Amino acid sequence: MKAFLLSIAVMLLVVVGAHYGLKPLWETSSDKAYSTENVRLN
Amino acid sequence: MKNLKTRRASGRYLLPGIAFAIFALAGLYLPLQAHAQSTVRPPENAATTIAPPGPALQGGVQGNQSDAEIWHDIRLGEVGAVSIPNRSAGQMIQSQGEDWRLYREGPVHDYLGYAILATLVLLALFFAIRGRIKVEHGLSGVKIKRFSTLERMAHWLMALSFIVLGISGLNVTFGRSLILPLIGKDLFGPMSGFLKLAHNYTAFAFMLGLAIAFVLWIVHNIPDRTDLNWLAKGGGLLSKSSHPPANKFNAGQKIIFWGVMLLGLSVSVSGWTLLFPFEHSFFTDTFVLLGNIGIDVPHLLGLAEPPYSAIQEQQFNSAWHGIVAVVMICLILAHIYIGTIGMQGAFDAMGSGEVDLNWAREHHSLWVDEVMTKETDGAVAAPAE
Repeated sequence: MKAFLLSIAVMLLVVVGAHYGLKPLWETSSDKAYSTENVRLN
Repeated sequence: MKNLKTRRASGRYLLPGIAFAIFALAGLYLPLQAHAQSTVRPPENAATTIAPPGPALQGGVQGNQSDAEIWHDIRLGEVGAVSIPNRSAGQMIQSQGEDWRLYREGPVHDYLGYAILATLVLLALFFAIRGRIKVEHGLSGVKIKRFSTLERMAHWLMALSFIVLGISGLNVTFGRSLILPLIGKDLFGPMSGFLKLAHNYTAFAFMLGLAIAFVLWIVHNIPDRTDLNWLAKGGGLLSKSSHPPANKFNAGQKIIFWGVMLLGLSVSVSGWTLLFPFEHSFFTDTFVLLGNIGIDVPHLLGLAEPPYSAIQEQQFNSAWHGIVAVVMICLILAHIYIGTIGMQGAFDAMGSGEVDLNWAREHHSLWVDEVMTKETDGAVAAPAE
């Protein structure tokens, strides 16, 4: 039972960590996405 | 009085007269200005279209030239160059996308569904014929430690995350045809959105569990000679009095271990490329590598020759991810069966971590001998005070 509960805690920890840790990678902020540096005009 | 009225009447027309004069003068002046501006326009015989530098534009600047061949190429997936970071934007029409859609909604949907159903039916048949595999000599009441807390934690971490991934993943392939008609769009939409997010994030918990289990159990899962004997006797699953000797993990468990590790690694890699799209070209690289040693996978599967576009790589990833995941689901269904209702005493190994001694002797006799020898040696080395 201890191992089972521990696995739930670890899983939730990883899920929450991945959610906040990877958010900047998955979602480009609007100021960056629409920056003129993002477009090469040549 | 009469003269006064005359002055008032003349004053009445004074302002409109001035306004008329201003308009008249403006009317004379503005055409002159317009004429002056027209002098900077190109002459009549100048080209009216200004093409940007570089090669001629397809279809002409005004799009009034017929370019059937170009549009034909674009329809067939011609990839051009773009000046924005989105690499996939260089392809206007990806014709293989239609093939992928038909493949997903056709064979993938049907055959993967059949595979899961067939597994369930086979397990049900096996249970009906063989029944629950009981401990032949009965439970001894003596327990022997089989898995540590860390080992069980890694197992349950993999198991729980796999269940979440399995349910959310199956919803991607089968949800629209099986769940949507039952619960309706209003519920199916938000539910699928939540499951998709759960799938993305839980994947990392699965990868962690996979890595821990690999480190903990690789030593016990290296194939050896006893596995051949175990396999030759069907693991004792087919007859009631047969108990082929096995170490901590028997050949069946080793198959599960390597299946989960290899398929888990593959599904993790393909999942990673789906999470971070258009950054990898694993299928192009793999097919080229296999082609170098004489295995022409694209020819065998009836696919186009590599290299593949970024979008096509994603389509292959998507299909591969689903196929590998369903193979894993079938494998794990069999594992769940034998670990629960299929065999008496088996669940304790991952439940409490301790198994009955008679169960251990019947299914992992070599491991029991090893544990007993170690305990005896330990008792001899450290006598009781």
